[in-house]
Amino acid sequence: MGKEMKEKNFDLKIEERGDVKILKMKGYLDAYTSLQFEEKMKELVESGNYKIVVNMKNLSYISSAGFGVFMAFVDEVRKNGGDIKFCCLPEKIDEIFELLGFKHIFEVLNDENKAIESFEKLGVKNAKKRKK
Amino acid sequence: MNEKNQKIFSLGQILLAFGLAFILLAISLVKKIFPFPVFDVASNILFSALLITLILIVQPFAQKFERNPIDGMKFILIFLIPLVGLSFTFKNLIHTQKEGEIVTLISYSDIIASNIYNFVYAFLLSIIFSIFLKILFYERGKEVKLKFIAILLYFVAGELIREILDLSGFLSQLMMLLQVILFMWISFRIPWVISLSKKDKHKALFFSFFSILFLFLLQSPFITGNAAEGMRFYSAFFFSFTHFYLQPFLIIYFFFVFGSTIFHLPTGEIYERKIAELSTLQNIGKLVAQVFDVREFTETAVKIAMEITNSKSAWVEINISGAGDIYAKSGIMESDMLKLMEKVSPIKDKFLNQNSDFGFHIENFDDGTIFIAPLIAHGKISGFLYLLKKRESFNQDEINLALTFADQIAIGAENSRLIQESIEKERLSREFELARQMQKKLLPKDLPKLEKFEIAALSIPAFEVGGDYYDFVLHENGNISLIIADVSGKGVSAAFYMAEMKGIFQSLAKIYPFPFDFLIKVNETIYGHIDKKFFITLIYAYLDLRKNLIHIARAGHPPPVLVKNGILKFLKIPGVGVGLISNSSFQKFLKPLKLKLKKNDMLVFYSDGIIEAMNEENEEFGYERLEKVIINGMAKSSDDVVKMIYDEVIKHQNEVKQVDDITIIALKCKK
Repeated sequence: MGKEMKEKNFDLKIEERGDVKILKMKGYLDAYTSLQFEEKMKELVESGNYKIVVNMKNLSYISSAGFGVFMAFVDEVRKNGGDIKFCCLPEKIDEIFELLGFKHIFEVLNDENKAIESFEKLGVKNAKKRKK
Repeated sequence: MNEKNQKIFSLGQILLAFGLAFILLAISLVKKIFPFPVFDVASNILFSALLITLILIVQPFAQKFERNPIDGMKFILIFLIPLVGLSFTFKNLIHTQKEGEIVTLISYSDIIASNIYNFVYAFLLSIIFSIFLKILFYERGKEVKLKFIAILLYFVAGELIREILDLSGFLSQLMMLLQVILFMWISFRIPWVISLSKKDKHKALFFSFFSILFLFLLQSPFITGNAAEGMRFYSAFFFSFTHFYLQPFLIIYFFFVFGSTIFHLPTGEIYERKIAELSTLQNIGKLVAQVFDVREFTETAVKIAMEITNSKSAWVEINISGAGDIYAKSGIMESDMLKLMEKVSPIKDKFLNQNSDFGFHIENFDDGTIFIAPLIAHGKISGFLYLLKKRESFNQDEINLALTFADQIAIGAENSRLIQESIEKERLSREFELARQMQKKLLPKDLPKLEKFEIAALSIPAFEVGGDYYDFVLHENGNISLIIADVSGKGVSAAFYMAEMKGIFQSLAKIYPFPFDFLIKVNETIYGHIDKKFFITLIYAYLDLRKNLIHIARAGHPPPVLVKNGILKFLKIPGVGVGLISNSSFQKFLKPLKLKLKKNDMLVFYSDGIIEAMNEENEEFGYERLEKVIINGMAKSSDDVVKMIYDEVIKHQNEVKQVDDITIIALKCKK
């Protein structure tokens, strides 16, 4: 057993665009940091934010526990007319998404704006539905 | 007197005493008729023998006061009282007449009364004398015994000289004076007085004062009168012994006791407290070492704190993480204590806001004084000690003592906490060890031995328990199923699902050997039945040994490596992780693969712990390195390949701790 040379930090910034929350992730989302992230997600969802875009541009690593956090909230978010969408995956993480089959579960986009726009379309669609 | 002493008393001695008493009675009667000096000499000698016998008889009783001067003085006083009463009674019972210089008793009944009086007197006196010797010799060396013998000899010699030479009044008085000086000389140092407690000193004053009073009464003719004359008639030596030796000796000795007690009285309290301090600190030391329970420890500590500082009440508040506030109190009602604490809470805050030089605080209020000292362990305040006095304040000694005490309590409480912590840690690590052993049993003990294939496997959890799993099922037709799975997350929760996975694999693989059916059933079993945030990635393979066919399905797991004809390939067979989506979607994406294996073809399965193993630069082991190792080892046995991969991962990690479980399985076709 040795030591860990570099701190594996995880940093999360939450931005807002309309009713869409953009989670900008940075660093390492591993078994430990995913516990903090889960708390943040819980707060977010419990306070009624169901449209979530996760920007993984600066994320270096995601563990299975990290994926678990999204799985824990996706059902509730979708039940409330929202969704969790991912954008700007680094190549390595894209590969994991692919292997794990996460792309079959979540929408993954290349661009943050596109991800936000897709929510707006959804909003329009829903509004139309309501009108009918 | 109790039974034991009665047994010790020798019957022979008692008979001898009575015998001597009768002879003395006879002599005194004869002396009445024929007053020859020779009878006086005889009675003196016989009386000396009687006195010595009596002293020997009472020795066992006197033994009790060997190390107990206060009780000794008490008993001397107790025996002096009857002595005075006795003398006063017999003063009126014995009648004397003066014939010139010589005083004689009038009738035979006077002589008998005198005999009784003297015998009882002698008995009581021998007790007093014996006890007195114990007190005199207590805590003093051999030198005092020599002095004592010297003085006794001086007295006996003086008596003899006086008897024989018939000294003049002046010389006789000079000898008496010297005698008194000698008594003072021997009585001068009374060491045991210093170490007496305050209470015992008061007792010593009382006993010595009244003893002196009674002894003076015994000396005075006003009390003894004719009784003393009767004694002189009975035995002149006895009269001298009591009046010129023992009683003056006692008076002088008790005078010194009285004086030195008064002299040491103010030091009594200090001495007492110093002793108490010492013993208390010793006790606390023991307390700190012994007591494991914080509450028990503080309760005892509070009681001692109260005692040593002479406080009316005391309590301790300890704030230990996990243990909450512990209030141990003594001598105060809970409601009063809380009221007072409310009152002094600003002082508490003041202590908590300063970082060093904590000191103490004394607050006067209404009719009392409260002392507050923080308990400091590792430079932090862990609680407070409160001491309360009514109508009195704390002196410097008490403050010092209380502060020392506060430190001791802090250390004790801290020790107690550490002990609890290490016990808890020990318990946890034992539980983990147990869990690790249990989990090890979930992995196959032996690898299947096959004719056409060789299989090698290795699994190393990152923590005590992990989420990686691999296993085999041997079917009745001789075929074999293989699984490698990784439960999301780490530690205990992952281990639980891994155990569940074993049950599912062992039961379902036998019923549904083909990958598609098997995985559909597995997902059906797991999806919606475990915590949403958990999922399992796995590879399942069914090996048809007769046809050399392998059916493989991948569910979200890192792709297996196939080496065929010297070419390496990652098999990215479509399939989503188990437990992520419902079966309707799951089966849509699940596409198993069928492969024909030939000699030297090899399949390598592994967990993401291999790919994600990081070095100091947070650089992952990755697929390229894995590829390289396998290419290098493709000609080797499956055992070697597994070992090569593991060694390479360890080399890559270098000094960095393994953070994820690592599992490798290699399957090589031999024919």
